[in-house]
Amino acid sequence: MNKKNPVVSFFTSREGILAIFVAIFFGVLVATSNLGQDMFSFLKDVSYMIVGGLALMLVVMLGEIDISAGTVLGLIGFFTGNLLKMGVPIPLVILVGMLVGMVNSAIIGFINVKFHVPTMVVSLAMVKLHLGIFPLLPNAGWVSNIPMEISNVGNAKIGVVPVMLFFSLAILVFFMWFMKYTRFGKTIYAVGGSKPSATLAGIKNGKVVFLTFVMSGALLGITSIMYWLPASQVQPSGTNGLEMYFIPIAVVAGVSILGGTGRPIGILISTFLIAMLQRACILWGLGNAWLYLTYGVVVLIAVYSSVTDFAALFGGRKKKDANLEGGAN
Amino acid sequence: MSTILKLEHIYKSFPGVKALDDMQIELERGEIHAVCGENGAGKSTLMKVITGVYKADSGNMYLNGEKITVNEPNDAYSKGIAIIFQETSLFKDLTVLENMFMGHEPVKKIGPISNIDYAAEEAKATEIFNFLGISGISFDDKIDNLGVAAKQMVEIAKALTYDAEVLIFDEPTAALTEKEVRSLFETIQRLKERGVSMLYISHRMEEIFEITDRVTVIRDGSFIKTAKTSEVTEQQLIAWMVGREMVGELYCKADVEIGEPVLEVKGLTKPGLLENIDFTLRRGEILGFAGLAGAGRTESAECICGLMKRYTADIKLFGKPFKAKNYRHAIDNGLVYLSEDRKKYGLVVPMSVKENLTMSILYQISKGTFIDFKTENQIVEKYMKDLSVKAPDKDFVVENLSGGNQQKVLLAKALCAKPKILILDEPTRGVDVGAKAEIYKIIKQLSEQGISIIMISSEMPELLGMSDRVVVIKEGRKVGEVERKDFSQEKVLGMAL
Repeated sequence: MNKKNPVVSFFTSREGILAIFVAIFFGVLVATSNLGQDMFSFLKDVSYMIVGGLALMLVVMLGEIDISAGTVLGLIGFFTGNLLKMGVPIPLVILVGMLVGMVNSAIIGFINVKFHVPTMVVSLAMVKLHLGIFPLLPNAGWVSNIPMEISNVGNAKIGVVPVMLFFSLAILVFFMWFMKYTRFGKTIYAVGGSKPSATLAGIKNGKVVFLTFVMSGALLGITSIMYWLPASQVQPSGTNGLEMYFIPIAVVAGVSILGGTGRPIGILISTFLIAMLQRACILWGLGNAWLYLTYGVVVLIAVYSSVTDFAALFGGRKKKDANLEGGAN
Repeated sequence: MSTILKLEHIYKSFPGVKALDDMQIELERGEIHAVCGENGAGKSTLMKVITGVYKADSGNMYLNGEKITVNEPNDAYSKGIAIIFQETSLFKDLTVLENMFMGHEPVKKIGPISNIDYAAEEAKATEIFNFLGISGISFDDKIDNLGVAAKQMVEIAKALTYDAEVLIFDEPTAALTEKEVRSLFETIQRLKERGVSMLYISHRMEEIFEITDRVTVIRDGSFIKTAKTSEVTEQQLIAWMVGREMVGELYCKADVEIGEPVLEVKGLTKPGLLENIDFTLRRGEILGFAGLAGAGRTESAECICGLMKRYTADIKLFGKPFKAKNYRHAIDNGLVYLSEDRKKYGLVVPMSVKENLTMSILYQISKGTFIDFKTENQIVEKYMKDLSVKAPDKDFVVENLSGGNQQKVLLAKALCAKPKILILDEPTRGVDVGAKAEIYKIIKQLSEQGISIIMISSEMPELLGMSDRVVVIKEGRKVGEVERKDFSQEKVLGMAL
């Protein structure tokens, strides 16, 4: 068995080609705009987007979706913001945030597994639920006047690099390990790839879907805190629509919308791409219209490329067949 | 010899159906044991009970004399019982190695954390590949990039990762070429030498007689007989399977006067697939298309019917130049094609028999915008009766019909469109002997009605039994044409290979 050079095989893979493109784009953007001066806030965005992208990667890998990932961030932010204001220590607040996220995603996973309702529909209902439940909560509204000492934690930096980014990268590395070296990680690929085949491999599909959703919820909890912590106030509707960044991050990363594929490393690269697209249109003064247009095209290309076999498109590639030698060993 | 696996008094029912009724089977150590039965006889259900995919309602299962219970696939695997599925159960986006160990990866503990031990996986996989004599597949190939035979090898290798003592093959040769079948049989022999006991399900009689030691016949979910393969004849087996002696010849050929040419094809060329194919079909004739899988038979038919674009040909339909713009255009001109893959291209399986039957003639049976249900019902009832489709009623969902009946619904759908020329692509694939005989009878009646038929088939006896003339296609080219009086398997096969 001849091993391929890992460096060569990375740069010829989907993620590698994307990485080269992203690096060039980054260079151009820094050269043609004042992104250089804005680097800290750019990387702050990248930090929470990586975690949110990972959260959606998990569910998209199952062939499922969670479009309530934006609105739930506001709801989590409302709870955690109030706790922070009351002076509850940050690690404890993070745990509460994860818990709220886990409960929310667990509901989606549970309804999907138990009643076979597509997650697209369940999470759509959750969006309305989030928007509806919020005004009914006591002290509903913005959480303002969070002490500066707390938002300073979110704004801590080393040079221009926010400390939060290291936290995100740690989570990313954890998932790189998790998806490759744990049995549970493998079962996520299996269930997303083919539920009937997974059953035949002795995997319990429902359990995997449920637990993966719970895990995704925990990540959304962290995402929410990373989003709100640097600000001194929480404006819960501010995160509405963020799922429309996280889903494309997962898809552009190479997670097929049909499930079963993708690698966490791709999330790092595609997060940079999506975050840069967002900045580019602002920095180049093109405005939102161009942002949405470019963004739509990028997502279309990404989805198309994740479900299409390019080799087959360009004349086809011969499928390999086994050679069988005579004589048993 | 000692018994390794024994099942007795197995009952299993699904809503409304008794799938297994006092089923029994005994597998001896190191033997290859065929399981025969018509489609729907309960073979697959039995295998699923053995491997824990289904749980039996009642019954006993013994492994090496010890009573065991198998509640889920993992129970079976852990006891050394594994199955190679008919439709491969591999994950197409994952690698060979990941597939082989999915669900039972070896782990190495680092402190409290379990890590998948890739080195152990590779060591074991190498050992298995060496034993099976597989080369040309590397462990990090994606399944999607492998051919059918290679996938099958991975399936077998995967089964061996469970240290299987009992292996079940469910129609392993259905999608393989003759050469691939030979190497599969070599592999099976090797497994046998190693002492692995095997259950072998197949529709192909010649395979059963070639490689199996004993054969168990089941019918309608019940056990019929177990016998030494060397002591039974094909006729006997078929008789046990269908529950009666086959009356007369399986193939029935109508004595039809063959008329004027109805379809003349000259120089059919599609770059990379077809090259300069000529043939003529006459009124009332059955023209066979012989060749290996992938030779270009289906593609020729698809070009003529407008299902494939970008080809060149001189086609004359009933003496007039014709080029199908799309399939609708072909149907409207009396040209109807029946796909070889009835579930994928032929029928909409979650829909009812009725809806499937009238799908291509909806506008003919409509008054204005609305479907005329009275006419529709009449048409549906007529064809269900004519073709003796065995369904509880016309609103029955096609998915729940047996393969043979699905094929009849497909035929009826084609006939609804009132074809003058019918192209049948593998009309009896995955259909049991009884239903085959009925389908041949229908084909005979059609040619008596003056319908001209092109029959594409990979089953040589069927092709030679039914056709007036056979066109042999090889690698996209026509390599010969044989008249009925000169028919012989050797001759046609010799041209096709």
